[in-house]
Amino acid sequence: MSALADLSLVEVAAKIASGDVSAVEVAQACIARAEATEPELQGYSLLMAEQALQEAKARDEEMASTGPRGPLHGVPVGIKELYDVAGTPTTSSSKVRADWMAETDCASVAQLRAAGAVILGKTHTHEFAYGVATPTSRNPWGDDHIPGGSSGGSGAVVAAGSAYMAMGSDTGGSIRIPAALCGTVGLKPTFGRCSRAGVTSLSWSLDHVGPLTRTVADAAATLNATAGYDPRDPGSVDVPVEDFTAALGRDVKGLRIGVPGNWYFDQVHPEVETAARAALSLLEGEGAVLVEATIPYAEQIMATEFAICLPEASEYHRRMLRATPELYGDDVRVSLEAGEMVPAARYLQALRVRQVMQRAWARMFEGFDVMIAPTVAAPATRRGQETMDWGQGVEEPVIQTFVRYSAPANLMGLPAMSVPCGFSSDGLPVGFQVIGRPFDEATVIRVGDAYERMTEWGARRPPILAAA
Amino acid sequence: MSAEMTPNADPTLGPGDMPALEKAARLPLTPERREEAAATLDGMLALFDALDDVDLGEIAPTNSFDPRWRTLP
Repeated sequence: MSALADLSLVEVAAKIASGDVSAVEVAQACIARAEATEPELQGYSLLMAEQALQEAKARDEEMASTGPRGPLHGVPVGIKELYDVAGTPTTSSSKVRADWMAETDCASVAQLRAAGAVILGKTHTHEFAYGVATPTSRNPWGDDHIPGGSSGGSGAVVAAGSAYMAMGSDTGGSIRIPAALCGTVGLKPTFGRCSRAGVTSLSWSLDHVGPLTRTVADAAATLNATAGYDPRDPGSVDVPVEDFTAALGRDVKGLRIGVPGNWYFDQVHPEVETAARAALSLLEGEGAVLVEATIPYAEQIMATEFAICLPEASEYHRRMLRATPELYGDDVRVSLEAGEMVPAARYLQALRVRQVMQRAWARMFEGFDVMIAPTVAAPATRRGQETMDWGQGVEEPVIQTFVRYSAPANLMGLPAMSVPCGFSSDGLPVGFQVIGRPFDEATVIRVGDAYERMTEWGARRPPILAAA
Repeated sequence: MSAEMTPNADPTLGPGDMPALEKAARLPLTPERREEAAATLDGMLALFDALDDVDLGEIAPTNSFDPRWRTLP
């Protein structure tokens, strides 16, 4: 297996820029890794090997004539199935849109190409991003386990080394959940930071786009390429875009970290809690100040998330649900049907509660700079598992187990990044999330990078690479 | 006030309640789908009851409308 495929995005970009390797050699390494792992992994819905090699050749020619396009010059990346990539179908991993052809690139893909990236393929999503299992794909750390979702394909291919970065989308945790379950970094930027133009929607009020990567530095480099105002996205916010890589290499001395005393450590897998608290101790040992935090309106978090998401998703699918209902998977179809019958007043009530919660979260954040909590309540569940057994007769739908801790950052629109922080006794990855103030991705990146440099979780390679 | 209208009346929603909702939504369901959708909807509506515990006062919802005319690509 090629060691080239095991480098980080930043490392391989530097090698291409210095002429140590060509973009074609890098693309070949990534394609070889994909060909070795995909028969089992199924992270890609569409592997565009020939096209990627042509793009890589063009990047090498550009490098020789005019120099690099940008910081991602020649780097192969994966794109979630929800994103429009010109000339390819945007299926959303659904039979409903099997022939839905994209004529132009979505905003993110255009930005990535402008930065020099090579589009290697499309990655599977849970159908229309409406779920956390991504049943099409496997977890590289355990083929009987889900990769998480909805950006499960992106998590799988990044962890397996068949893409240096893959874009995801996050409505209730769909970047951070697969990142935590697959052992990658996953960054959900602030609502409005990155354009969603050309990306299939699940819930307009909650959708975010962002990268899954092997390192925090890779996430910062990708955010540099994809951040910025776009009037085509009504949620886009016109704020200055800084160089997010400037936050790398710093320490956490004096930084105040909020540690939730409620909600985020309620009903949590003991190995997840142990790993997250160990990470907090490590950061405290490096000079961070831990501050206890109380999550306001915790009892309303899931109600608000679903009372907004359900009707918005159903409205997006209104015509398709009536035209081709039989083409939807059962789980997505029933959610769409139920969502049509949520009273409009309930939806508006949830939007109002969201405002109240936002004010309370702003007050809570006066006491610290970032908050750290487990990304999800448990490691990856088994394929087909529908409920989580918490013992003493307590069972919970798996979707709630994985969305509970990630949804608040969607509701509040805050930047949040999942960072690997250990492994369960079964060898499955565990992650914590750093949640920051609005548009303060820099501090989130600073903390994640500082922790990453103190640990070696990222050096482990998933079992699928030994089997491939 | 009738028993059906009191706040303490059982709010559980079942397949028998669905035809009126389907009619309002213009989304007719088969009996099999009706049962499944009723269970999902009932679970969600029960979850949403927690929203009633928040005093919203004069708070406006987060949805907004920008009246400026912008030339879009």
